[in-house]
Amino acid sequence: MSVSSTRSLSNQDHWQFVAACALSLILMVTDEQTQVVMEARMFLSSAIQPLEWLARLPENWIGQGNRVLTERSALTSEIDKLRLQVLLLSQQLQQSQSINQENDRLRMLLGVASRINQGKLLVGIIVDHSPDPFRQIVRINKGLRDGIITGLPVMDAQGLMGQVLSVNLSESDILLVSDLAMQIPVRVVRTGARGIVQGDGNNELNLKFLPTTSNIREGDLLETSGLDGRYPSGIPVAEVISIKSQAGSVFWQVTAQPVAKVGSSREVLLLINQTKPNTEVITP
Amino acid sequence: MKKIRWLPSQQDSHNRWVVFFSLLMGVLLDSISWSGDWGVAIPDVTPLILLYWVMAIATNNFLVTAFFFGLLHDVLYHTGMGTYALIYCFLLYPMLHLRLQIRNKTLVQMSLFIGVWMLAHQVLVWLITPANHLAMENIAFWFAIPISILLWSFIFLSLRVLRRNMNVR
Repeated sequence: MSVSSTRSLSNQDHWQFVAACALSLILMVTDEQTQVVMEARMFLSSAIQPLEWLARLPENWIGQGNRVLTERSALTSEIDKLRLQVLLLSQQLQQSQSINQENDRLRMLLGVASRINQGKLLVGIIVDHSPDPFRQIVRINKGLRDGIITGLPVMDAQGLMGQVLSVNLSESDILLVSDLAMQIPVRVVRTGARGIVQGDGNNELNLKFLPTTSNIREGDLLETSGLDGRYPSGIPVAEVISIKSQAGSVFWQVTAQPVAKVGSSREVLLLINQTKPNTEVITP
Repeated sequence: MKKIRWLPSQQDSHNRWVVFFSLLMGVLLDSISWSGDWGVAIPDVTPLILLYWVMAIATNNFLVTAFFFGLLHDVLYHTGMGTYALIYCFLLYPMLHLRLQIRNKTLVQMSLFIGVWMLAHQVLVWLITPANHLAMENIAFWFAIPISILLWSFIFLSLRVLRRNMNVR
């Protein structure tokens, strides 16, 4: 530290110190006993108000940021709740439609009691998809710590999406119904005829093992039969879009389109704590 | 015959503005309200800045400045008018005596000296201001002393850069 000149304390400095201390003490006593210095305090307070305002700015910004984030978070939470509600209502509607149709056909004896309501429903968000273009696999943001296990059925608001293929701590891979490796036992809602649908790897399904003697037509809805114990019965799976007969074959060549929006759904519904699913993983 | 100077020179006036604004920055920093129990561990920056200028500009005693900024702190901290003015004057007076010795010390030695001054500051605050009697229950209040020792290097170097850039002599 360098200075151009220095000096020792002069008498003036001593007197200034004494005067400042005396004035301070007088002010302290006056402020304690009277209201005389109130105006001086108000004046100084006004003078430093801009400084205090500046000092509060960061805190205000942080506060406003927190408030915006909180509001946004609350809205997001509300939207999530509403989406869950829509999913639940859609799923209940699907189930009731299915039950009504079963009642209409007087085929209750063949029906398998729906187990959808026996489990806990969990909503997952699709966060990624398989880098392999030949596989129909998506990743959701729910994993082992959410109670997800391999083999659980996965739905969206329209119908069956697929099943849980693999699980890690916080995420799971879902094998979509349209994957080549996916096979689901189904029945035709209108007639009750049973078959198995298999994904074709290209957003369509093939209904297999449906005899040519069976009554089937375009627009028929296929739902899970529940016979394999993996999927609860009554979940809509696909809608028949074309029927062909192949010479020499005793089965129809039926093409169906998944009712679930496998390519565009963002939220999926998982049934957990239901009857223990078959944990066998289907591999291509 | 030696000419007596009654009016402040241009250099004095320049110095005063720089000192004034640096102390205003100190008041600004002291105005920030730190949340939590450990907020009391944040030392007042204004007395540290004041001590720097007392050491840096040996031609001025800064007692009036200390008194004025003490009053500002009284308003800021809602203490009785004159309380901090008295504390700052008490802090400055021994520094006026010792500044020629202290400013020749190394930065580390200087920081330790400043620690002594800040100990005096905390004790005076504790003794004079009624609200700080609660300080005995909160050990964080005394942590302001080691923190100010650490802070001193930063304040010293920053103000030295300012002083050199602004040509304060």
